[in-house]
Amino acid sequence: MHVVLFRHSVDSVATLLRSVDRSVAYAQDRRAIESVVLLIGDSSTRPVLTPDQLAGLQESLTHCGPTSLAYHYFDQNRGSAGGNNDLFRRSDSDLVLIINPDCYASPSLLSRLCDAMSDPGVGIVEARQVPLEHPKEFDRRTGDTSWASGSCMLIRRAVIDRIGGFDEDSFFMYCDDVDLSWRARLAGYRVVYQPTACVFHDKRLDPDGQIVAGEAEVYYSAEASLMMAWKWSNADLLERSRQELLHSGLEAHRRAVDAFDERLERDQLPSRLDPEGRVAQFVRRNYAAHRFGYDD
Amino acid sequence: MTDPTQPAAFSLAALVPCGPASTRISETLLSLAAQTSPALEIHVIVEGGSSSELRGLQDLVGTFDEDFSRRVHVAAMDRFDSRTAVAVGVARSRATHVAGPRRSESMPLAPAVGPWHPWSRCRPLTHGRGVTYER
Repeated sequence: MHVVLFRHSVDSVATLLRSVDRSVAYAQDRRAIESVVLLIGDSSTRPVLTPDQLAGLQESLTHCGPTSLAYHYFDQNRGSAGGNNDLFRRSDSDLVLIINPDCYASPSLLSRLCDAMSDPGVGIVEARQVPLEHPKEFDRRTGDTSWASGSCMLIRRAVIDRIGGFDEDSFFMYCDDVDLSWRARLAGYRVVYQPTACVFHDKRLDPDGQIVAGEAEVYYSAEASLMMAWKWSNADLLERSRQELLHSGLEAHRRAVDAFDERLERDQLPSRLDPEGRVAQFVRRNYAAHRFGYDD
Repeated sequence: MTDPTQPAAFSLAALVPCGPASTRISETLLSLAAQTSPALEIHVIVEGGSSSELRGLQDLVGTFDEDFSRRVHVAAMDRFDSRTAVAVGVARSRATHVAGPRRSESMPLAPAVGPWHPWSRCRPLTHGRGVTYER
């Protein structure tokens, strides 16, 4: 299991680990998994955990065992993409659960995610988030979907070995999961949604039905949207997004466009993929068709 | 750490229909497990359903970590009992305050504001509304 912290509280880490410990026990009882390694990466400006707090968390893992938990303070903000890549290099597990620190695993989460991995063609399995379910369309029969949310996904190590990890040079915080999913699908793997695998994810909506976003989220999601249109070869969308961001009136949007233009000028953008649009899906402002909108 | 031998400060009592709502109750339990502290105990009063369905619900509670599952109490509503779920919860709970959802047929995912907030040193809760009753 990988979790990347950024100024999260010790309590939230303890809550997550308690739920994961229980989910591991449930999965082991059903022989879905054998041993487990829990890796915490910390991108905060100061370590979230003191040695004593880490020891306390390790002792609390009654099923996984104290030695299963390791903590790595990065001493720099690696973002979610860079942080997870770092953690990929620190273990050799066949399957990796990536989970956000503000999540709580249901007891059956791991077991149900592993169920969906029984098909060797499946590379990534996405959990269902509660209370705000991601409204991405998926095949009701097979679970196939456009991409898997990095809030809680199970990924096969072979996928990482084949396509590399997250593209941390292009995506600091957002769309790293979409990009990873699409590269996995380009490589022939399936990405599936497993609605019976539930995770609580502490997300809020504002009164207009929009996900509550801070300044950093506004900036990085704008930057990521430009990068997605570039990398996944949608020139029309790139120019349209660029113009919309420039005229939105938000300073964060203008800075994101400036940063993108600078990288373009310096030839620092990634290679373009999928010119035939085999896997990339741009539907309105989303990367998949949606079943519903929270502002409908 | 709260002493498990002491009564919780607050209780949530809710009436849930058995059977078709099983998916919903599992999500509700997940939400409560994620968001509430040991100061809150939970009484799930089950209406209808067979004894095996009731056992299934108890088994579901048992799959959660012990810190949470020991705070959740499942009981069947007597078919001849005319009391509300909250009244049953008051009778069963040792807490000083008991709350229940406004509509008896639905259990909130978790309370958000109002009288819930100062209760239990828990993180702000995401969904739902409740009403409280002082014992």
